Amino acid sequence: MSRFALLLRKDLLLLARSRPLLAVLVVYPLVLSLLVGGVLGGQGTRPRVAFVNEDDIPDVVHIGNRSFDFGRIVRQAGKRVQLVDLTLPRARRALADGDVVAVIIVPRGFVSDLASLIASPQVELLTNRNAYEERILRETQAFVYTLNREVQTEYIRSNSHFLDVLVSGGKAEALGRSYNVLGLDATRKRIEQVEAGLPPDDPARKQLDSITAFAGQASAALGLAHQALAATAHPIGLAQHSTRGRSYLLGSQVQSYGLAISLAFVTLLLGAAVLTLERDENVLARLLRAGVRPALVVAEKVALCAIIGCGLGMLLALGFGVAAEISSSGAPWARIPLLLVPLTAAGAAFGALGCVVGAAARDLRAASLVGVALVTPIVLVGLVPRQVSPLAAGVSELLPFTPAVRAFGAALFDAAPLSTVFGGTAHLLVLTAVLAVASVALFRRLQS
Amino acid sequence: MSADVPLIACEGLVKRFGERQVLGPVDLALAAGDRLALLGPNGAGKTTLLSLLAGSAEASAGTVERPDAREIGVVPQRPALYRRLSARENLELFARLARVPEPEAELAELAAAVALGDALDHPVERLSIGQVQRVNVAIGLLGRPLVVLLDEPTAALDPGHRLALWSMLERVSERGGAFAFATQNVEEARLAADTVLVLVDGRAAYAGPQEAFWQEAGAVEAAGGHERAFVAFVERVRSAA
Repeated sequence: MSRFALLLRKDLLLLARSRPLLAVLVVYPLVLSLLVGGVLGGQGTRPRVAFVNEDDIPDVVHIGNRSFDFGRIVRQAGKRVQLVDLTLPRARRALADGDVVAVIIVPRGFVSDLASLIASPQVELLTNRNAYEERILRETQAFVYTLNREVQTEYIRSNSHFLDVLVSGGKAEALGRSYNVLGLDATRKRIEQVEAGLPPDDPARKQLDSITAFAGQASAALGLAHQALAATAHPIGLAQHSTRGRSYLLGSQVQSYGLAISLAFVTLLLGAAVLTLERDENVLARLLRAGVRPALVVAEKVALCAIIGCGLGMLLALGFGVAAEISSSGAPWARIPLLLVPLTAAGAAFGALGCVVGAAARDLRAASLVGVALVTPIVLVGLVPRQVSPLAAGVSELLPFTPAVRAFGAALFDAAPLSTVFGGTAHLLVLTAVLAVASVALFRRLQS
Repeated sequence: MSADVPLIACEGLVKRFGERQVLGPVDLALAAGDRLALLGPNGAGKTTLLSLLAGSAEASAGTVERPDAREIGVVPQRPALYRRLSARENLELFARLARVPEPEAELAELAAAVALGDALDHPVERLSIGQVQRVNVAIGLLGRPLVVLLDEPTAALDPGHRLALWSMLERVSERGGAFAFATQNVEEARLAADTVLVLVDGRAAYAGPQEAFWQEAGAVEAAGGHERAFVAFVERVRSAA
């Protein structure tokens, strides 16, 4: 057996005999899975949205001779978000205080603008930067879309009726006024009656014939316009069916971040601890005398972290999968084997960073404290979106957290994941090599 | 110190930390069968000298002639063992790491030498201080090194454990090797060594046969006589400096 394998076996044996550590490695994924399950289960929670009805619109709105069930449309929107009726000042305050995530405002004059057909009324949306921003925007768009569709349907019905009146004659309303319309059919009959009273060689008969022909053509064309009006108003329809498929937003992000944060804590601290342990046990000099080079010691610790990281990550991924199934979010079971590669690389990269800490620290306690102190900013920097701070995003690319999250996310959810998964893995391996070299250099310097 | 071909030797050995010289110059040679005690008060430079001889630290000046690293066994003062592994597992691990030629036979021999019985398979953290120290010494003896360097190997051991430990070391000189050990215990030096190197404040104050040293120090055969003579010797050296 090689020296590398001997050291690895020894460390695995030591880990197995360290009951508190073993308990942490088993309990940690379980607890985190429960938390993720809670998050996934809670993703159906409706965010609170203030609804400001400045136009005092009643449940049923009458425009012209049509009625619109405005209350029903609002109630429909309320199934996906929790609508809270507020006045505008209170709604603004609630948004500023974070009591609501957005404010939907129906301004004064909304119904009269709608009835006039001259100006398009506006629904206003106020929101701040929060996790629900996108979702609220979609809900508001859906609300406006539903309202538009209801109004549009009524307008089409109304316009269609007007076309009927133009052909057959009758009463019509437009711009709030009532008209008696003769209709093309009656026009044609009246012309035919007038024509019947004229002498056969009357020159006006030819002109009246052309008007009668036009009335017939127009009547036929307007008959076709009914269907064209309905078809052009809704060129593409949307049929929605709910299934038990995966939810991208929370499903992917929560699992990817959960995996990366877990690996960051466990393998970084493990790397720091196992390297410091060699010093605490006073065996370093003995190992060196036995022909074990510092680079081999560091490489073995990195490999140990990669193994533990992979094992822990797989346990977590399975736990998350079960949590996702229970919460009806859907689990990416088929993708879990693809996680093996980036999980191993991430474990190695965090472990190598831990080895840098372990090489620099004087004892186990110091290494643990420095490790915990280091993990927190690494995770925080990795959580900052590039749009918010390009500098933080740039720094996080030099640390294992961000490439790990990217690779995990791709492995679990991307339609074509291989390039991102292997790109992220290569990134992690480069970081591993750099950090391991730094650790060996530090280790040698402190030993001499 | 020995007329025979030395197994390990140093000449003009000096160690400095910055501007401060903590050891030397020291001349020393150990030949087959030699049993050397490094005597000296705290901070005299005994551990530093052993580290330089072992090659664990770089000398500031002087030369060390030493055999291959595998021919030098080192026993640090603080046990260098994995506490959660058993004594047997520790011995096996270091034997295999050091590529000991016949590990099974040697492990059996050392297992018998440490005389732990069933405790050989207990985690080291559950062994007594004496048992741990015997395992610590046994690992230093892995590969049957020609030279064994020990740093206060019997500190905190009771007389029974001390005797067991010296009997393990006797085998080194019996097979043609040599050992040197640092100690502050005068009686132990008298018991286990033939020659002594007395270090006082980093300088070699005496190097030679033990009997001659005690004569020079003026020791008398009485209770605590050698210890008093040693303390007086150290004071004389410091006064002269």
